[in-house]
Amino acid sequence: MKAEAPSIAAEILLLSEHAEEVQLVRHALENNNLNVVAACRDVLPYLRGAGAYSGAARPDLILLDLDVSNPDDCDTLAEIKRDPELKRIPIVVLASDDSYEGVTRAYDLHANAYILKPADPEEFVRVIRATLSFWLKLARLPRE
Amino acid sequence: MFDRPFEILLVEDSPADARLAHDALLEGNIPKRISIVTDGARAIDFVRRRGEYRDAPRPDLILLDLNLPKRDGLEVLRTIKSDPNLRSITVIVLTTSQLPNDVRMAYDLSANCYIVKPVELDQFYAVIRGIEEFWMSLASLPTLGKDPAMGAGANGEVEKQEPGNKSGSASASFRHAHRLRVRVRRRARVAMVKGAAKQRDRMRRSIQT
Repeated sequence: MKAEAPSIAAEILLLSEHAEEVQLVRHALENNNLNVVAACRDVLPYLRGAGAYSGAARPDLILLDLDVSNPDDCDTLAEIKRDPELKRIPIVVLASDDSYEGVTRAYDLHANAYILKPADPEEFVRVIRATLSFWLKLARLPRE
Repeated sequence: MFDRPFEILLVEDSPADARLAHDALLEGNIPKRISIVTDGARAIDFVRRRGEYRDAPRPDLILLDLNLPKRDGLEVLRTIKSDPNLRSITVIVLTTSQLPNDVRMAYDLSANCYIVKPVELDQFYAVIRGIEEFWMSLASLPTLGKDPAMGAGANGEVEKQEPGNKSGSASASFRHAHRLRVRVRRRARVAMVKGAAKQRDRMRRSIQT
């Protein structure tokens, strides 16, 4: 693995209120840069560089730990995807439930992808690595 | 077992490229059915089930080229992603264009993902493998559509499999079929991320029989 060409360094924004999960994502990151917000209400201010987030790096990829059954969480997703300046940033939803309704709702709101979080920490790291590997090495991101 | 194969729509005007993508997709382990259309107007007819595509399946995944005759790829994308009945379908733009403006436009129009098609054959195969691993194993997709016309077959099969399932409504059956697929994919995914290819193949065989 280490012999592979290094991945392109990217800016990643993670929304997660779970400290342990943030640690695990950090562990999976390789040489990419991670910024974290802990609450849904901070995501849009971060992306718009408002208030305390003035000068924050625009992410190349967003990981949103969402509860799709929670209307507030969905509003955050919907609002990013309605904003002409933000909507093109790919969003991968990390969810602990993948019911038919939840998955469909997330894609209807234009989430780019929906991932079920494994409960096992090691497996969680592997899934995050596989996700980042796909998005950062195979996909082309709308970098500015 | 899988209640049905993974449905892929390949929108590609070059027969050679379509053949190549078709063969590369079929190399993967996940059972799939691939439909090919060669221009944008046909792609739209296919997803709307018009004309000769009246009985077309709802795709789980669309691989969309951008440079197409008749309606171009971005127009196809706009049509799908602005239609409430179609927009949850995963659309991956797979094109030779590396123009930043094409990338930006595609994501602005809600493409799920943009991939530059490599010219080198082994890299092209690697891309197709990556698509299979991420989109067909790791990601959760809204695999069964809301259209009753498409659910009928799957319902029948699923209810035969599990006679105890008392689904009172069509949507309950969709959910049930969805859960079965999720369960199968979750097990396949566990094997995949552990890199246990043999275990995965063995498991898939046992699931299919």
